Amino acid sequence: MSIARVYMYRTCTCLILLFSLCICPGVQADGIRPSESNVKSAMLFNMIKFVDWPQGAISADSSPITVCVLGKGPFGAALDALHGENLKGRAVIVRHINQVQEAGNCQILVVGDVDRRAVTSIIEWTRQQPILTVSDLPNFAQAGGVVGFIEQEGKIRFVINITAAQQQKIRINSLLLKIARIVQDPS
Amino acid sequence: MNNIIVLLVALVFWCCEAGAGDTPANNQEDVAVSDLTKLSLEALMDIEVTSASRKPQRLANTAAAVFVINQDDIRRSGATNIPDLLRMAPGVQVARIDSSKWAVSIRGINGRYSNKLLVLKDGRSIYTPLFSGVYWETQDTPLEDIERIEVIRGPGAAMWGSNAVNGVINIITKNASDTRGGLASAGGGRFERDFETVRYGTRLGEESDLSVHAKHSGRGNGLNSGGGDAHDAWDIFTGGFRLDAQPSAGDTLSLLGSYYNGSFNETYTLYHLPGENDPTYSWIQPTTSRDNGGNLMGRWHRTLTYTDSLSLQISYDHYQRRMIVLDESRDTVDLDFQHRFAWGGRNDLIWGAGYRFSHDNLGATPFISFNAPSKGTNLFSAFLHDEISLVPAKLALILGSRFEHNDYTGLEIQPNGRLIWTPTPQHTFWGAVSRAVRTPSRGDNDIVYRYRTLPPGAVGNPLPLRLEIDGNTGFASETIIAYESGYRAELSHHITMDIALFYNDYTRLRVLSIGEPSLLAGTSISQPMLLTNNMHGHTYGYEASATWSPFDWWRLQSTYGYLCSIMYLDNGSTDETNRKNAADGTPRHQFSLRSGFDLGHHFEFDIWLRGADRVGSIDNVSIPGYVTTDVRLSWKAGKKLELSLTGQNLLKARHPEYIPEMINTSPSEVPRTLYGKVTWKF
Repeated sequence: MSIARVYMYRTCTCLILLFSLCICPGVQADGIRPSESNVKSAMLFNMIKFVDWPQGAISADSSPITVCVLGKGPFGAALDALHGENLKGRAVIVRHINQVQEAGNCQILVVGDVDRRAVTSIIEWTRQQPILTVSDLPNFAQAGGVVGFIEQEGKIRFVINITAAQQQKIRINSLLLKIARIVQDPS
Repeated sequence: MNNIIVLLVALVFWCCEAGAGDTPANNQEDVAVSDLTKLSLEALMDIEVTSASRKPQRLANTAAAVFVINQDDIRRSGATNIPDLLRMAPGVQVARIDSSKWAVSIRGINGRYSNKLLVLKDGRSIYTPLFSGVYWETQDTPLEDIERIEVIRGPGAAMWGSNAVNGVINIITKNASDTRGGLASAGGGRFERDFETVRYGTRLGEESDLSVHAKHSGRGNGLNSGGGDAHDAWDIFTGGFRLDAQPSAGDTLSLLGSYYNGSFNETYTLYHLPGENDPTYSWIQPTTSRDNGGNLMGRWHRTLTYTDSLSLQISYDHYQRRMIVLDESRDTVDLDFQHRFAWGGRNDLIWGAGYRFSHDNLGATPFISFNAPSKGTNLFSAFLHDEISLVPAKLALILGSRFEHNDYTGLEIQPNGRLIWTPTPQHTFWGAVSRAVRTPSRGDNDIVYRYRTLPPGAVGNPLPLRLEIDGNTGFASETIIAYESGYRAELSHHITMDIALFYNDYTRLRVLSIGEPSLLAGTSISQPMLLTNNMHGHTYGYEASATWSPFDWWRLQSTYGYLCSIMYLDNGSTDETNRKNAADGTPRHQFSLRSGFDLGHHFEFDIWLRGADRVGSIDNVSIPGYVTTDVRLSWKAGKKLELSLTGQNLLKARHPEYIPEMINTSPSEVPRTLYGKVTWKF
C-alpha cells in the first residue's frame, strides 16, 4: 500500500468518525424504552392481584407478600424496586436468598441466573409448596416452573404452566390465563 | 497496515472518551419500575423493551471461542448475504471471488473449496460431501428470518462431528411464532440489482404457528480487474416455510422446508488437447450455470425436566447443479438423536447418535469425471459429552468424544477436553485440547480432473502435456490437534471483551504428488497428479473482540484477528502451489470496527470499517490488502415502514479479494455499491 493511499484512508476515516462525533452529542434517543427487567418486574407486581394462595400459605389479609430472589441477574436486581410497595393493603417484601431451602416462607420465588442443574432441584423442591415460581430462564415453565417470562419481537410475554400451578395449589385467575401462553402436562 | 489499525483504534477510543466526557449522566435511560407498575398487564405486554438478549451470561458459560451475530447486527450491517455477515466475526476469513462465490474459512487454510468448516442451518449440516465445503451461493435465506448466527472458532468435532476442524457456523432461523404478520421488503442498486422478500406468519391454533417466505435476489455483472464486464451476474429465487407447534408443555415440534432455484454467470478457462481442426490448447468460455434444490426437516424436542431433554431430528435434502465442468445431483437423508440429562448432582451429560446417507450422480464432462459416476455413502456416528461441575458455578471440566464410522476411512475418534473457570460471573477463563478430522470427500477419492494442457516445450517435453488431478482411494483423513484458551469479561454493563488464543497442529493435509506419466495415442503425454496426504504444519494466532456502548444510542464493536500459518511438504511432494495456498492463502491481520448510532427521530446511522492484510499466495497469485467502509442510514416511518440507504465498499471504486483455486473461473473485483431498501410490516 502506497504512503499516499495510507494517508487517503486515514483522512477518510477521520472525516467519517469526526462527522459521527459532530452529530452525536446533539441527538436524543426518541421515546425512552424501558428495560426488559423493569417491565418484567412491573408485570410480576401486577400479576400478584390475579393469584390466590391456599389457606395457610399466607396469613391475615394485612400480612406482607414475600418475593424471594434466588440467583443473580438483571431481573432479580430490578425487583428491589418493588420492596415496600403496597398491594391491596399488603406490603411487598423483596428478599434475596442463597438457596432454595430458605424459600419456605416466600409466596413468590424468582429464579435468576443460576446453574441449569440448580433449576431442576429448585423445581423439585417447590413442587409440593404453595410458591409461585417465576423466571426468565428459557423454557422455565415448560420444565415445571409456574411462570416463565419470554421475549417475543421486542415485547415481554409470559407462559404459565397450569399443571404446575394446580399441583402447588396456586389459583390463577382466568383473566390472567387469558393473556398468558398456557402450557400443561398432557396427563 | 499495522499503523492504520493502531491509529484507528486510538482514534476511536479518543473519540469515545471525548464523547463520553460531554454527557456523563446520559447512560442509563430507563423507566422506573414504580411508573411501570401503574400500567395494566396488557399495556405492559405492548411495550417494546430494550433487549438484553445479548446475554453475556449464556456466552460466559461456553468453554470455546464463540461469537454471536444477532438479528440487530444483521439488520444494521447492510449486508445482503450470509458470507458478508460473517465478516463481522473475529477469526473468520471471508473473501469474495465473484458475485456468487466466496472463500470462507475460520483460522486459515482458506479457499473456494475450503473444507475444514462445518456449517449448520437450524442444526442441519449444509456442507456437501463432494468437496467437504459449502456452496454459499445456494444459501439465500431472507436475512430478516435469521435469529442469530453462532460462530464457533476451533474444533467442534467432539460435539458436532467431522469437518468441524477449524470451526462451526450455526445459522439459526426464527421460530414461526416470532414472525407473525406480514413483511415485504424490496430494494436495489447498481450491482445489487434488485431483491425482494415477502414473508407471512400466522397462528394455526392455540400453540402452533406457520410462517412462509419467498425471496428473489438478482445481482448484475460486476467488473474485472481491468474494469471490464466480469460476466458474474447471479440470480436466485428461494421459498420456504416453518411450522412450530407445542402440543404439550414439554414438547415442541418443528417442520421446516425450503426450495431454491438459481443461475449464475461464470467464465471458465478450459483446456483440451489440440485436434486436427483446432490447434489451440485453451479457450475462454463464458457460461451460465444453474442450481436448484430443496430440503425438508422435522424436529421433535421433549423437555423432561429443566436439565433433561430428548430431541430427534430427521432431514432430507436434494440438490442439483449444472455447470460446464460438472453435472452434480445429490440426495441426503440424515437422522439425529440426542439425550441430555443430569446425573449424580455434578454431571450434565449429553449423548447422541446419528446416521447419514448421501447418494450422488456425477455426470462426466471432458474436464471432470468421477471413477464411479454414482455412489452412496454411509456415515454412522455417536457422541458422549459430560460437563462435570468441579466447584459449583465456578469450575467445570468438559470431557467428550465423537465416534464416527465413514465408508472411506472407517472409525474416527474425535475427543476433546475443556476446562472453564468463572471466578466471578463477569470473568471467564477457559482452555481446551481437541482432536478433529476432515474425512475424505467424494472428490478426494474419485475425481479425475483434466485441469490444464501445456504446449510442447513449455516444460522441456516434446509433446503436449495434459495435467490431470486424480482422486486417491487411499486418501486418509486430514487431522488436527488444537490447543486453545480464552478469556471473556464483562467489565461493566457497557463494555465486554473476549480474547482467544490458539495453536493448531495439522497432519496429513492434502497436496498433489506427481504420478507416472503415460503416452496418449502417441501424440501427447498425460501427467497424473495424485491427491495425497503429504503435508503437515501448524497455525497459531489470536482473536480479540470488544463491544462498548457508551450511550444507549451508540454502540461500538471492534474485532481483530492475527494468524500465522506454517506448512511443510512430506514424502518428497513438490507441490509448492498447494503448500503456499495453505500457508499464505489467508491474510495475517484482519480487523472490523462497527459503529451503530440511533440518531433520534427514528434515524439509525451505521458505519462499518474493516480491512485485511494481503493474501500472500493463492495458486501463486498474491492479492493486496485492503481497508473498506460500509455506511447505512435508515429511517423508520412509524412502526410499519423502514427506508434505508446503504453504501458498501465506499473507499475505492473496486478491490480484489481472492481468486478461485483449482477450478479456473475468472474472478471479479468487489465494487463500490449503493442500494436502497424499503421494508414494510403489515
